[in-house]
Amino acid sequence: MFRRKGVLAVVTAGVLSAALAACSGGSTATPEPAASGTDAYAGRSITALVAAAGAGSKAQYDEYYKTLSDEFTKATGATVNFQFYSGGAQQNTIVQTSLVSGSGPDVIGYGSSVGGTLAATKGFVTLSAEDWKRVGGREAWNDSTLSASGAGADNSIGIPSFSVPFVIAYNKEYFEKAGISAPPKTWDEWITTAKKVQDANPGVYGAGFDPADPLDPWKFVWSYTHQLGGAMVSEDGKDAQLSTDEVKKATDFYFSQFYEHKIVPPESLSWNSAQMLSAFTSGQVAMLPIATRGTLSAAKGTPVEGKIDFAQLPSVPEGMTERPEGGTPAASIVSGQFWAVFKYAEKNKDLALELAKVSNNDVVIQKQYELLGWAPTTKDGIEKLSKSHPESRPFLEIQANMEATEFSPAWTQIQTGLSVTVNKVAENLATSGQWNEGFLNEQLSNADQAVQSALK
Amino acid sequence: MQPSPPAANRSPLSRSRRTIALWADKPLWMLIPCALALIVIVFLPVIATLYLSILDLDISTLREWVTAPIIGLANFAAAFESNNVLGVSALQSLGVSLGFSLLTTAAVTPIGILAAIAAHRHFRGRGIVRAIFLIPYVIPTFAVALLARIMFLNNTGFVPQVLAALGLSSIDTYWLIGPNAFWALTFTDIWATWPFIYLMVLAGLQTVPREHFEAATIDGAGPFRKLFGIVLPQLRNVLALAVLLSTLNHFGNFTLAFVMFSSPPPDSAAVLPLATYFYAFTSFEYGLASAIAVLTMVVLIVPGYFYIRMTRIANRIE
Repeated sequence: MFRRKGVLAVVTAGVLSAALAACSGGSTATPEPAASGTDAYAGRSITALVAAAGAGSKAQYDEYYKTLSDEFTKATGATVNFQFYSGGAQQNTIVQTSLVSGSGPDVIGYGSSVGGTLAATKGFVTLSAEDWKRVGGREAWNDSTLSASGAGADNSIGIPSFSVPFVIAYNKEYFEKAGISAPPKTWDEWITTAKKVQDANPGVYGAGFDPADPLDPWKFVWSYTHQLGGAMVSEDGKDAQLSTDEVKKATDFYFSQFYEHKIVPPESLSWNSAQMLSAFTSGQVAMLPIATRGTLSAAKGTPVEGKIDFAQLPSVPEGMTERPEGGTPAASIVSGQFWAVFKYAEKNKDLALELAKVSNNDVVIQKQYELLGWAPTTKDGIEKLSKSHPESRPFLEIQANMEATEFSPAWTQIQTGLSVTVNKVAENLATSGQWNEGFLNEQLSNADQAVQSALK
Repeated sequence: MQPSPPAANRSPLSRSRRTIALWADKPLWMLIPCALALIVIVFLPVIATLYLSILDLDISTLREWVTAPIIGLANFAAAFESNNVLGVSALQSLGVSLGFSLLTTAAVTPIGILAAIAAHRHFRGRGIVRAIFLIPYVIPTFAVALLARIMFLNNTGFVPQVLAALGLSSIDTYWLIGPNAFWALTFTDIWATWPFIYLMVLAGLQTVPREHFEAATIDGAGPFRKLFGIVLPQLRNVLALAVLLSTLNHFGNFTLAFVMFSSPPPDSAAVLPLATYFYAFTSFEYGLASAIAVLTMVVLIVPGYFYIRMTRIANRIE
């Protein structure tokens, strides 16, 4: 009896161990020697995990990916297959599954703010000087762009592909009616502009507001915090700084649009970005704080088509005429796509680097701008686009003022902590009907602790 | 005829022989593929989850999860604390899930029974009514959730407008954030899932002999007497099973809360499946997420036990 139990235990343990080991990642592939020259990779293929088309722009995405694929084949003789993720949740799921199983796509086109999280998995190839040389050299990009590639030149995992700076979108017609000639450059001007628009256009609210969105609010708070000279983590990356005065002021200002200045729709406390965009395209609000050039596509066929213009996010905090010491414009996070190679697919690194290089070539950067409004990231690409498409210059200037989010392994906790704080403060405001600074401080303190524990 | 020997005199050997003979009669080997599938699909993941729940597993240890540091019950202790990034403890989420599943079940049961009794009777257009009753159940959950998100919007949504017109609440009341989010979730789920009870009861009603109703009518029984004297007693087992399955379905409903409120959810709507998802795929605390999954499993063992008992009773009746 006991012997049978013992045998059963051993068999069970063996099966489990085998299953667990099979599921464990960390496969070590030996990289092949780099090939070079056209058709040097003929017959080979790689799989790239990339973002799926945004709402209403599938045809443009399809054409962009076709151009990229054609250019890649032309340059290498190899083929690239695209695997798509719809949103951060699916991206995370695919990345986690691939890392644990040690199989999946060879290369990922990730959103810039995810870089810290991906680097923390230690599942992506750290780029060597030789690797950078193969894609055109680090000097081909601005330092601000490269700061979202990794924690320093020796620890970078991402090669910049394209950029989508965040801007404010505004309704020119409402501005003209209110006698406003230029978009706001400071947050004081943002408030006064919004109020003037409201006075001149009854029923219209000055600005959009979406505290229930998981992404927009933290970007707003992040920019304002940096304009005040603050940051989400200390310079050495060891201490969380979510409960500092800068973050408190930034979050307070964000909500003051609702409870003090009343420049946003009263029902918008439960809005997400789709609802805010819808309010803008229907003409209910005059300005969008976190917008992209993609707003033009969303506005097609709506009452605001042809009436939209863009500007840089205001960069001087409320009550100030210039930024305090240490404050930066932080007009937008370094936003866009970077390529990173999965470690388990290191044998295809050469092809992945070729894909990254091709994604920055002249044909692709022109096409991506014409189709989707995405800006190039290389210095050369920016100059060429500026010449070929002069209307892109305002966006390229904003791009020059972009700043990378803190490249921290706890970035997910930072982003989530800010989102949860904004959600809970919005709930508190909706329930009590009044601003509660103590509640905000308490929530930021909780978020700070959670981030600190992730930085352990 | 020889009397059978008393039970006490039966030897263990003869009992085991009888058992072997009984097994030999049935083609039990045919269960092997199913058993193997169960091991791979159910048991191994459960064991893996138990193992993960005692690991210090996060984004930096994920790739080498088999060798991640073992931290005992620390994740279970953390699950009961609310000073995490979501700000909600597993105990709070458990309360939300229990309240949500019990309330929805309590509401859908009488609605489903009454609808089934109404649709059981013969009348003109019964087929159309039966089809209409099924509409909420066949709409995909994510579509229901998106619809609910629009309907519960304060100021402009259909629900706040109706409630304001009836004088029951202000049109400005927020239903998608704050404590009211729980009620928005509950009412939406009630609307979407009552046809499940309706279907189960309607199927059960087909087994009640028509003569029982005729005899009751002759005896002068009214509709309520028939309901409580004939229908409910005869449907007791079916109804109990339907209620149990309904509670379990509501308890495990992830999609509705996720699409209605996104992630992170409001505290009042942070049901256990959503909290587990949040920790696993938003804040990457896999050990903590596994601990919450294990706690969920423990809680569900209670209704699971009753479910098994009921199916055994049903088998015995057959």
